Formats: sequence, C-alpha cells, structure tokens
Amino acid sequence: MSEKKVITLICERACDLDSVCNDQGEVKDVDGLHVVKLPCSGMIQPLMIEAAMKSGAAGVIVTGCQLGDCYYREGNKMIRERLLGQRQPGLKKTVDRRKVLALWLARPQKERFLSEAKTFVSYVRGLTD
Amino acid sequence: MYSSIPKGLTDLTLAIEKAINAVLTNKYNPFYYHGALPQFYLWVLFLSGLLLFAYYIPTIDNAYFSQNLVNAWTSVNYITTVLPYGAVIRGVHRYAGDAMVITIVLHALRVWVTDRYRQYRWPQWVTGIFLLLFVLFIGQTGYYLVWDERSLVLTRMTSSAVEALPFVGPGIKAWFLNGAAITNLTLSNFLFIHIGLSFSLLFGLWLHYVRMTRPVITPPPAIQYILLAVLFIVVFMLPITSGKMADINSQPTNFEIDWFFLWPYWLLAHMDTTTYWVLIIGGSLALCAVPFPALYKAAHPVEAAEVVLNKCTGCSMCANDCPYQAIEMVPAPAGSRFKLLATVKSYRCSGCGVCVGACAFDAIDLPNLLDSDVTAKIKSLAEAKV
Amino acid sequence: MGKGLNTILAIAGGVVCLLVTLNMPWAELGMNASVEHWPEWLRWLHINAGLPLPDYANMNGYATEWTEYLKKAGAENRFGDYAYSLLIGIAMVAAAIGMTAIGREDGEEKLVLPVKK
Repeated sequence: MSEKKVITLICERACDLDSVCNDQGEVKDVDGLHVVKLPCSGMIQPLMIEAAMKSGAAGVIVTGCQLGDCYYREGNKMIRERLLGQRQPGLKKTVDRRKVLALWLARPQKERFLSEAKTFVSYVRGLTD
Repeated sequence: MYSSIPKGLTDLTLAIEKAINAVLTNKYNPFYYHGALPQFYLWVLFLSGLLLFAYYIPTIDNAYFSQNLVNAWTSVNYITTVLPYGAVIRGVHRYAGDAMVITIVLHALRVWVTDRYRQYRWPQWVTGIFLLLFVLFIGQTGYYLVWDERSLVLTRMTSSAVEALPFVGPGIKAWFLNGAAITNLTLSNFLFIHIGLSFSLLFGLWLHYVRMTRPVITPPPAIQYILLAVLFIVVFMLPITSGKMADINSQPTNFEIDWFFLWPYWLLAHMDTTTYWVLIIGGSLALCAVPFPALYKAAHPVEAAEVVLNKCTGCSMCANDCPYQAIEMVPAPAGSRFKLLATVKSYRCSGCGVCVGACAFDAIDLPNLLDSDVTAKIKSLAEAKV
Repeated sequence: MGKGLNTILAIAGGVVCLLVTLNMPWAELGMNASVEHWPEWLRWLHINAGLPLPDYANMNGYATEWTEYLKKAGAENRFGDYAYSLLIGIAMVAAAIGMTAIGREDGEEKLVLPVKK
C-alpha cells in the first residue's frame, strides 16, 4: 500500500533543503514528502492547499522565512494571516486544519524542518477520520 | 572571489541571528528591526534637541565684548552645570547622535549582506546614503553649536575645505558662515542648519519609505527601553564636557575627536583638500552606485507580475498586499462590470508573487511561474502512486 | 523549562526595576540621604504628617564612589543627576528583561492551525 503524500510549499530563501532532497524534489529521509519551491511563501494560494488535499495528500507543510525577516518583507505574514482567516482569501471551511502545518525557518534551520516534518508526516498519516 | 565575501558574511549573520532567535525569539531579534533602530534614535534626538533648544543661545560674543557674558558656550554651560538634568539631556542628545550613526551603519551592512538593495530596491539604498550624509553633517553642526575651542577649529577647517571647491566653493563658504567671517550670524545659521536639516530628514525618510507598504519603523517597547537605557548608562559613564570657550582671536589647533561624526575632520587634517574632496564625493557616489545593475550580471532579472485583464474584478487585494507599492488600482475601462482594475508598475515589482497569493480570481500571474502550473504540479505530486 | 523561566525572569525584572526605581529619589537628592536635602513639602509631610520615607543612609557608600568616578570622568557638579541617569538606565534594562521574558512566548517558528469545534 502506498503512503499518502505530504506536500511542502516552501520559499526559495527559507531553510535550505537542497542538500536533503533528491532530483525529483523528494526529501530523502522522509518517505513521500515532496517539496515545491516558490519565490516567496506569500505566493501560496489557499486553493493550492485545497487542491493538494483534494488530490489525496495527507497534509501540507507551508514553510517561509522567519517572521520579521521575509526576504520580500511581508510574504510570510500574508500567508500566515490567510491561514488563520485574518486575511482574504482564506482557507475554505471544509479543509481539515489538522492537516496543515506552517513553519517559519531561516536558511540554516534545515534540521528543525526535518524534525518537525517527520513528526507531522507520521501524525497526518495516522489521522483516520 | 568577491562573491565569497558576501556569502561568508551572510553565513555569519545567519549564524548570529539563529543564536539570538534561540534566546530572544524572532519577536525581539534586533536584527529584524535594523531599520527601526535609527528611526527610534531620531525621535530621541528630536525630543532631547527640543529641550536643549529652549535654553540655547546662538551667539559668539566673548569676554572681549561684555561683562555679564551670555553666549552659546555659557548657555551650554548653564544647561550642563545649573539646569536640573541638563547634563543628562545634553548627554542623551550627544549619545543618541552617535548611536544613530552606529545603527545606520549596521542597518546598511545588513541590507547589503542580505542582498536587499538591488533592482526594485535601489531607491531605498540611494536615499539611505543621502540620509547618512545628512545625518553626518547635522551631527557636525551640533559640534559647532557648543562654541568651544573645538567648534572654532572645526568651523575654520570646514570653511577652508569648502572654499577649495571649484566654482561653488566661495559661495558655499559665504553661505556656511552667513557672511564673510565668523560672526553671531554664523552661529544662528548653524542652529538653523542643525534644526532645519533635521526636519528635512523627515522628507528624506518619506522618500526612503515610499516604495514600501507598512514599513517597520517602530521596534517593540522592550527594545526601545534597551535603546534608551544604553544612552542613560553611557551618560553616567562618560559625562559630556565642553572645551574652553572659543576666542575668535586665538588659533587653537587640537581637538578631541568623536569618531562617529568627526572622522572627516581627521581625514582633512591628514591630507590636502583636493584628495579629501575626491575621497568624500567619490566615496559617496561609489556608495550610491552599489545597486548599479551592470555590477550584477549573474543575478536573474525580475519578471514583473502581469494582470489578466479579463479576470480582474478590481477587489484591490493584490494592491493592498503588495509589499512594494507596485500595484495601482485604476478606474476600469468603460463598459466593464467592475469599478477598478489592477495595474502593475513593473519597475517596482519584485517578482515575489504575494499578489498571486492574494488573488482569488486567478487574475494576476508571474509570467515565469504560473500559479496554474504550480497547482497542477501539486496535484500530480499528491496523486502519484509510488 | 521555558514557561517557568519566563515567569521567573519577568518577576525578577519587575522587582529589580522597582527596587532600582525606589533609589532614584536618593540620586535626585544629590545622592544624599540627610533630611535637609529633601524638598520642603516632603519634609513638611515627614514632620507634621508622619510620612515615612526610605532610609537612604546605606546608599551613601555609592555616593562617594560615584562622585569620585564622575569627577575623574570630567563632570563638574550635579553628580546626583548623573546617578539618576544611571539608575533609570538600569531600571529600564530590568524592565526590558521582564517584558522580553513574557513577550518571547509569542515568538513563532511553528504554527498549528486552530481547529474550530
């Protein structure tokens, strides 16, 4: 039985995952964790997260720069507020909030990403309802 | 080889910030407020300056002229030795000036190390260089205002350096001294420059901030307390004193140097005027040219966002969210269902895509990374069976 | 560990700030504890209304030390003002430590979305 995928939407200047990913953008240590890079986490549209869930992903990890240090000034604050429903457009009510994790990590913090990602992946794959 | 310097500095900065985040968290990391720190010191300078201004007298009359002597030096002396907390306010004002120069330089360094000065950000860098030059000059006029022997030396050095400039030199000298020689008019001119240029910094700061939405200009209160506390503690450790009162008939030569503001005078004392001006003007122009595009052939150009005109509903979410004031809402063409239409000022666009994230109607795109492509890729990754 | 340490730091910061602040009147009096230096209205209250005032006599050691230091550093007079400045600086640092200890709990590197029931 194949594992459900978890998609990471990450910006180019957050934690540097290049060294832990293979050529297809899959994280080597964590099975089924795929990385999609964007110039800024502020580019993430909530409907991208909805699309991932509808297509069968177990969960989505949103990763941006440290709050206060977005390379493009406000991108991480924008997606953060959209996820919390404080800014339009937001996540549809039908999206299971337990399956979304947001991390704000600087470039040297790939270890922190890996540890949070591993915990999250096993958590969302264990969700049955 | 050049690229390894910023890379090494970047790695060092990130390592320091990581350590600070571990203790203070991102909320109180002063590196994340590096622009707000000099702005805060500017408010301290305005307030302390206002208090000093209430008692300062801009004249140079010295013992030669009158018995009950009242001039700039005696007024500063009165503030320092008679007025309750006068010495403290004077010290706060002086050290806030020094602190402002330090925090501006640190701010510029971080901006440079983190690569936030090029392309769409060049106006912030160039206005920043001008602001720094203004701040340095304002600080120097502050040293003239005390009218002790150092002030006299600095004034004479400045007027002779300025006079050496081709064509404009004698005119600028006459403006600077407010006449042909140092008189009472000179000192009131210095006061006017000191205060007037300080307020014009606010205009310069508007230019500095105008291309940024919601600029971060206020550090959190805990950091403000530390910024102030540093000044108060240094006032105790290093009390401010004036030199001897200036006597216009004397020729003092030495002075104690405040490295933050008076380093140009050290240069002037150690080289001829021509070399000095070439260094200062050339150096300032070189600093302004740092964002020049030709220096960065390797960097990828920004592909500005483009509005899909037939989908835009004029909701203004993209314009509100754009961090660089690059989207303007204009009246929609006649016959449109909607009132407004988004337009992108491509020269301000950073290519970040925050507008794409803000749009619920798929009406704006980064041409080299369509959100529909991103969504399609996400879907295929999520569906793929191993 | 985190929350406990933050509470301790916040309380410690507040207490140190308060204690240092209570010594600022001593600095304001020119670092002198004797009653003659108090302002007239305080003396009146002390004599006629029995207003208790802190005994600053034990701070007088600092007065000599700090005055010596200030004189050497170039200050001419009003040494109490400089002492006041030092104390206010220390009080602000203590307050800032307390505030940061509480505020840093809002520092966010990970966001788990709240699930509405």
